[in-house]
This record gives sequence, C-alpha cells and structure tokens, in this order.
Amino acid sequence: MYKKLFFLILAGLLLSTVFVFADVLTGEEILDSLKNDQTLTTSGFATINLITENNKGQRRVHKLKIYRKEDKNIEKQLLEYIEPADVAGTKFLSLNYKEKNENQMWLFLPALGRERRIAGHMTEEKFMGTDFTYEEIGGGNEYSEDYTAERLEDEILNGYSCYVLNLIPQDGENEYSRVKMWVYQEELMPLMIEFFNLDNQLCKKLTFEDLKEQEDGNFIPQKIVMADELAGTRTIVEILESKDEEVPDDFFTIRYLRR
Amino acid sequence: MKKAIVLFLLLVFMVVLAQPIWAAEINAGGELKSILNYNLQDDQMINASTLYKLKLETDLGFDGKMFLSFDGNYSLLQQTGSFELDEAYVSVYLPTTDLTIGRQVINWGTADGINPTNYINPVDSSGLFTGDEMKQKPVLSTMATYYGDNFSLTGVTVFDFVPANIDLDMLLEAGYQGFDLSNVSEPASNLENMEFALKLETRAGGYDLKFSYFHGFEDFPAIKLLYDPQTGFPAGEEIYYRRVNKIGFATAGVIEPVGVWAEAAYVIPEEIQLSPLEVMLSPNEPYIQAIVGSDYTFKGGLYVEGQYIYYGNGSFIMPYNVSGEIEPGHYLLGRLSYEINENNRVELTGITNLKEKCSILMPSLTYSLTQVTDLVISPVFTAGEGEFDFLPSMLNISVRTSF
Repeated sequence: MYKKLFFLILAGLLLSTVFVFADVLTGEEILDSLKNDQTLTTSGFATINLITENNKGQRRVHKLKIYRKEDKNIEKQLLEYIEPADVAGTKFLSLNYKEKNENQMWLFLPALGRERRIAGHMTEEKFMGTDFTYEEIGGGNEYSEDYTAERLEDEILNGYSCYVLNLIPQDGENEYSRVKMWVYQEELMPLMIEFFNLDNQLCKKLTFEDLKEQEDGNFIPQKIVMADELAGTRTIVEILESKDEEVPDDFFTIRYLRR
Repeated sequence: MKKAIVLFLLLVFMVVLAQPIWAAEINAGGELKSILNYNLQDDQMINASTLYKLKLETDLGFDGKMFLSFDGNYSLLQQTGSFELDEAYVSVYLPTTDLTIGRQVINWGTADGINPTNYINPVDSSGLFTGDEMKQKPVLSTMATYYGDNFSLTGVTVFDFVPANIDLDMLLEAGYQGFDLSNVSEPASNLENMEFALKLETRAGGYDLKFSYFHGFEDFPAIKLLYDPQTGFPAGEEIYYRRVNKIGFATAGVIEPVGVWAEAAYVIPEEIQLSPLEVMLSPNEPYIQAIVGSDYTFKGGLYVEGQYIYYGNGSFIMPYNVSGEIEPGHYLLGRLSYEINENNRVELTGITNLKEKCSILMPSLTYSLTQVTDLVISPVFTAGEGEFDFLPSMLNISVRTSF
C-alpha cells in the first residue's frame, strides 16, 4: 500500500513539474512556437471577401483568391481579384527572395492586357486601399525574426485564455515602436495584435475571430479585422475557403498572370 | 477571306456556347460608358455618345479558354451607331506552350501608354483626348509562347493586315490637304503578305528583359509626293502600305525605391528610291523610337511618373512630315495620381514637345458613384504653339460602369 502511495505521489510530482515548466514559457519561446501568425495561410490558398469600411461606415467588397508558397529561400504570393466587375481579372504576383532581401512584384491589369512591374517599396504601402500593407495581406509578417518578445501577465480575451506578449522591434527601421500580442494558449495562435506607432500611440489593431477547427485539427480564423485606430477605418477579411495544401509553382509565374 | 474566317470563328463559338455543360460556366460581363465632349474654344458640344462592350468567357473542358467580345457605340448628335465583333479567340494551355488563335489584341512593351515594341495591333488613338482610352484594333492571328526555365519565346503570325485609323480631320488641321487617304489599297491576305513577330523574354539581375522582332507592314500608308518641274508645286502622290522590319528591346525593373523601364525599337522601313522631283512624307531611312521612364509612390499615396520619349521619325501623333525633312521628336510625358479617399481620385497627365515647346495638359477628377460606377471629369488644355494646335481646349465628362 505504501508502495502504491509512493508511486502516486511521485506521479503527481512529475505531472506538476510538467505544468510548472509549461507555465514558465518565455515570451521568445511562445513567439517561436506561434502557429498561424500570418494574416492568411502560410502555404496554400484561400478565397476571401475583402471588405473595406471608411470612417463613415461605408463599405466596399472585393472577392479575391490568394495563393501562397514559402520555402527557406523564397516566398511566393499570387492574388487574383474575382469580383466586382471593374477589377475582376486583376492579378498581383510577388516573389520575395529572402537571402537577397529582394522583392519582385508585378501587377496584371486586364484592360492593359499585360503585366506591369511595380516597385518593391510598395510592400510597406496600403494594399489596394485597405488597412493592410502588401506585406501583411500576403502573410509576410515574421514576428519571431523581426521582434524580441517579453511575456506579460496572462489575460482572458473573448473567453479564450491567452498569453500576452510585448514585442519590441529588433532594428530601428520598423514603423512600429512596439506590438502587443494576445496568443491563444491552447493553439498558440494570435487572437489580437495591437500596433503602436513611433509616438507610442495605438495605431492599428488586428483581430482574428470566429475560430473554426479544420480537418487536420488546426484552428483557422474565419474573420480577420484590421482597424486603423487613428483614421477610423477598418478592413475585414472573411475567409470563404482555405486550404493548407501545396500550390504548384506554375501559379507564381508571369505565364499564369497572363492567362 | 477575312469575313469568312471571322464568321467561321463566330459559328464555332456559338456551337460551343450552346452546349449545356459549358453554357453553365460562361462568364459574361462588360462595360457601359457615356461620354460628352464639349469644345471650349468654339463653345459647342462636339460629341455625345454611349460606348458599350460585352465580354463572354468560358473555360474549356481541357486547359484553355474561349473569349468573345463585342464593341458598340451610339452617337446622340449624329444618331448613328455600330455594334461589331471585337475579339474572338481560343486559348489552349499545353504543358510548356500556350497557344492563342483568333482575333485578338496582343500587348507588348514595358513603357506606359506609348510602346515602340507593341508591333502587332495598330493603335486607335481617337479616344485619347476625348475621355475614352487609347485602344488597339484586334487582328486575326496566332500566338504561341514556349516557356522554358528562365525564358519564354513567343511567335506571332498575323493573317490579315489591319491598318491604323487615320484621323482625316486631324491631318487637315495639320496642313495635309488634298490627299485621299480613305481608299488606299491594303495588302492582300495571302501567305506572302503575312506579318510575323518574335519575342524572347527572360529575367536577369532582377530586370525583365524582352528582345523582339517584327516583319510586316507599316500601320499608316506611306506618302510620296511628285512635284511638277514647271510649277514647283505637288502634282500628284503615291500612297500605299509599305513593308517594315522592326528590332526592339524592352526592360523593366526597380532601382529602390523607384520603378524604372526602357523600351526602344529600331525601325527599318522599305526604302523607296526617289527621283529629284519626288519627296517622301514618311521616313525613308531607318530610325529609332525610344522611351525611358520611372515612377514612384510617396508615403501617403501620391503616385508620380515621368517618361522621356524620343521619336526618330518626328511626331508620335502625326505619321507624316509635311516639310519632307524629318527631325526627331523629343517629348516628356508626366503623370500624377492621388487618391483623396476611396471615392475620389485626382490625376494630372501632361505631354510636352520639348522642341516646339508646346504641351497638352489633362487634369481629371474621378468620383465613384458606386463601387463599379465612376464619374470622370477631365478637361484638356493646350499650351504653346506647335504640333498640338489641332487639339481644341475641351471638357470631357464621362460615366462608366462595369458589370
């Protein structure tokens, strides 16, 4: 009996150490373990409604298909407008060569009948009138590479237990002074991200809503909202369809742009 | 021959579109545009018309698509209209080759608006200053593009010559009088007169590189004047479409943070032997057309673009030189564009003839009435005296909607 009791206590001690260790994850460890820290799928494709709302509440809706593929050398992204009629057929191709730190981008306009090369600095500019930059809409954020993380006190956000991180940029070229991130503990995915400008004002807020479990057990938000807190505008991404499956390299070519 | 081929293509499309399976996947769309042009100098309305475009597109059962479009217009002032076939083609996508056959517009080049290497389709510039766009006339052709690892090779054959529109009023304004350009014989549609073009594309050092060649006919007929030795005045003319070879190069890339491009064509027209009493109003020696340009978007969204244009054959608007002496044309083309908010955009486009020191300025305001409907107000002004004198100051108002 004492033997059984001894093993029970030992098992209990062992289990409690696991919980203790899990609970002392550092900010860096949480940031490095993030899943779905991209605005959209990491590699795969999605069909979305992109809704822009001005400060008067007036809305514009665009339907797009987004294809992404990423490996250690290159990040590829193709966006194709499906609706409405005035932009249908417009395509945007981006090839980001990571080692060379070079971003090549083309825009295909059906009225022009060919592609047009566009400058790489555009990645920091707003994408097609939305509150996302070109970089953000395609999921080009690399928080673990661009920021160091400090863990703050845990919070409950919309009923979800979250780690809270304070991210500080690693270099001086970042447009944000800091970023605050709420990470859903069970899935290690961001649920809300606040961006503070160089004056430490809250300038943008990104939220991931309507979590839905996929076939592979991962959770994907069905709605992503970027709010420009200073301008009073919002951009809502409604994910109509999303698949994390390999996209053929053919999609990320000038040839596909022209079809 | 041309009409027979077009009718055959239309018949094929109608049969295919009538199939119930494919008919369910037809994407129909188009555009409707109403334009008013008011001559501010003469204080009169010169044009009130409605333009419409209907497009039908369907994916084929295999990897490919079919495309059909029609263009129409109706003039309220003249009470005449038209409805014509625009493009009609089939595209097939094979593992390494894309094929497109039919009546189509093929766009080559890297510059904005004016493209010396855009050989295949003649430009219809009638809408350029009147609130419409610069269009290209579709031609019956076959285009095949082979895609290799880091290159592509495109070959185009044109079966039926299509000339550019000749704005007779514009020529009269410029002093070309007495020429009958409305009934010039076009090259017959046969193997001997077939036009063809080749383009090799690749990418190196982050730049898109395009090398091209064209063999065919000039878009505008060449004019040879014959002088009367007694009077010294023109006594007649010969007008015909002349053969031409063109060798071109285009590139586009980025020198952070600006986009850059360059495009050039070496044009070799068929040389016409002239007697002392004959003068060519069209270039009779090879010449270069070239464009260099750059653009930049400021933080906050102001877009700025500038292009320098060199036309070795003189004017990029007028195809002829009334003096017979051809001096190269030098132009600057600039564009500013700024989106005030999601409903309002302002633009300013200007073209300056550096030699004659005259300009055309086209400011415009675009207001979005709905997400797919725009109201565009764009006056046109000229400044200085020179080649742009033919163009009166105008106010253009248009409403366009897509569906």
